[in-house]
Amino acid sequence: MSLLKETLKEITIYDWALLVALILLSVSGLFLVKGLALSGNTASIEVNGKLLYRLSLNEDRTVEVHGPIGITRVEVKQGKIRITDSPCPNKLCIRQGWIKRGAIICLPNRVVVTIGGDDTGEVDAISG
Amino acid sequence: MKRFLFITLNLLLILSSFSCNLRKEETYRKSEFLMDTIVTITVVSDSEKKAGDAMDKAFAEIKRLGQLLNSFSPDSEISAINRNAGISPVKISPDTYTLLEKGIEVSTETGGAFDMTVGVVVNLYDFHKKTHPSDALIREKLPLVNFRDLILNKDKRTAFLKRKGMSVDAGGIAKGYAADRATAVLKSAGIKAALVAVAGDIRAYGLKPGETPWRVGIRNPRGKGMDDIIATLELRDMAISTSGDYERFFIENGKRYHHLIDPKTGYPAGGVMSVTVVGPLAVYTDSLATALFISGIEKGLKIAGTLGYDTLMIDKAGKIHMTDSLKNKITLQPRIKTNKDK
Repeated sequence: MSLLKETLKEITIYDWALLVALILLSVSGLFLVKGLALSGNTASIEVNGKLLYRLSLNEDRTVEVHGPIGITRVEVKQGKIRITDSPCPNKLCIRQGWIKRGAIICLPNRVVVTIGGDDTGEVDAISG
Repeated sequence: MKRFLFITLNLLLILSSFSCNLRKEETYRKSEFLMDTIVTITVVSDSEKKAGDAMDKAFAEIKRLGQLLNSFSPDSEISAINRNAGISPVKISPDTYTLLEKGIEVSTETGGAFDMTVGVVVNLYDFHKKTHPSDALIREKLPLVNFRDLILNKDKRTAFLKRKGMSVDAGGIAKGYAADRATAVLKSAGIKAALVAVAGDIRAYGLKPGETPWRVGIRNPRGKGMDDIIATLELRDMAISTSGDYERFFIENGKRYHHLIDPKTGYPAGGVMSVTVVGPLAVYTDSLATALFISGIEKGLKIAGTLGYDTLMIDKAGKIHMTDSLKNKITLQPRIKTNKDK
C-alpha cells in the first residue's frame, strides 16, 4: 500500500477540520492584503505640512481647507481631484486641472494635494 | 498521519513567513515648506519613530541653511554680504563659505555662465507684473555682474563684494546644497536609503524596500503641470536637478521672458527649454543646470562631459539632446508637445 493511501486512511475528521481552517486562514490573508492595496486609491490634503484630509477618490465631494492666505477649495469627482478655488495670485494650482496621479501644490497657500502613496510604477519625485 | 500534519504545518509556516516579515522596511514620507518651496523627504526604515526623528533632523538642517542663505531675509548672511558691498568683508559661517566657494568654482568651470552676482539684473524683471527693463537700464546695471568681484578669504572666512551696488544671490545653488546636507544628516541618523527633494533639486541614496532603485521623473517643459513628465530615470546614490524657462516667465509679443538671465548679456538665454543635470552632488547638479541652460546645447553638452556630469537638454524645438552615458539609463516618455513661442 502506498504511503499516501495509508495516510489518508488514518486522517480523522479533526485533521480535515484543522487543514480546512488553516487553508481558509491563509487564503483570507491574501484577500485582506489585496483589499488594502486597492484602497491606495486615496488623496491626501496637507496644509503647511499637516495632514488635514485623507479622501477616497471613489466618493465625490468638495472640501475647503484654510491656508495662511485664505481658503482653498478641493473637489473630488469620479476618481479625479482638482483645486477649484484658491486665494493665490497666479492660480497655477487651479490651471493644473484634474489629476489622477501625482500632486497639486499651491505654494502661496501651502496646500499639497497628493494622490496615492508608494504605488509601484509611479515615480518617487519629479525634477523640474 | 503525524508526518502528514507536520509537513502541512511546516509548509504553512514557511509560506506565512514570506508574507509577514515582522520588522519590515517601509518608506516614510513627509513634506515641509522651507526655502520658499516645498521640501519632501522620503526615507526607508524599519521603524516609524526612527524615520520620523531622522526626517525632523534633516528638515531642521534645511531650515537652518535657508535662514543663512536667503537673500530676501535681512537677517541672512547673504544679506549681510550685500549690505556691505564695496564697504567691508563680512565674517560668515562655514556653510555659507563652502556654498559660495563651490558657486565660484562652478562659475570658473563654466566660463561665467553660472554667476551668483547676476541678481542685480534678474531683479529688473518682474515676472508677476510681467515687466522687463529697458535696454539702457540693462546696460547700466550689467557691469555690476561679475563673480570675480566676489572675494573670499579662507583664513578669515569672510566674503566681500568689491563694488557698491553689487549683490550675491545663492538661489541657483542653495537648494542643491541643502539636499546634500540633509542627505548627510539622514545618513548619520542611521537611515540606509532616502530621497531628499528640495523642489526639483533631488538627492537619493540606497535602495527602496524590495531592493528597487529610486525613480525620478523629468518634467515636461511644455506640459500641463508638475506631474507631466517626459522621461524617467533610476537614481542610485545620485543627484538630479532641472532648470527650465517655465519656472518664472511671461510672454510678450510672442517672446518668452524667463528668469534664466545670461550674465553676459542681461537678457534671458535663448535656445533651450530645459536642462536636467545628473551627478553625484546636488550642489553641482543645481548650479550646473543653470550654467548649461545659459551655455546652450552644444557648449552645455561639452561642459557636462568635461566635468563628468550627465545632462539631458531640450532645445526650443522640443528636441532632446543627451550625454552618451545617460542614453542607456533613461526612459523617454511619448514625444513632448512644443509651443511656437520663441
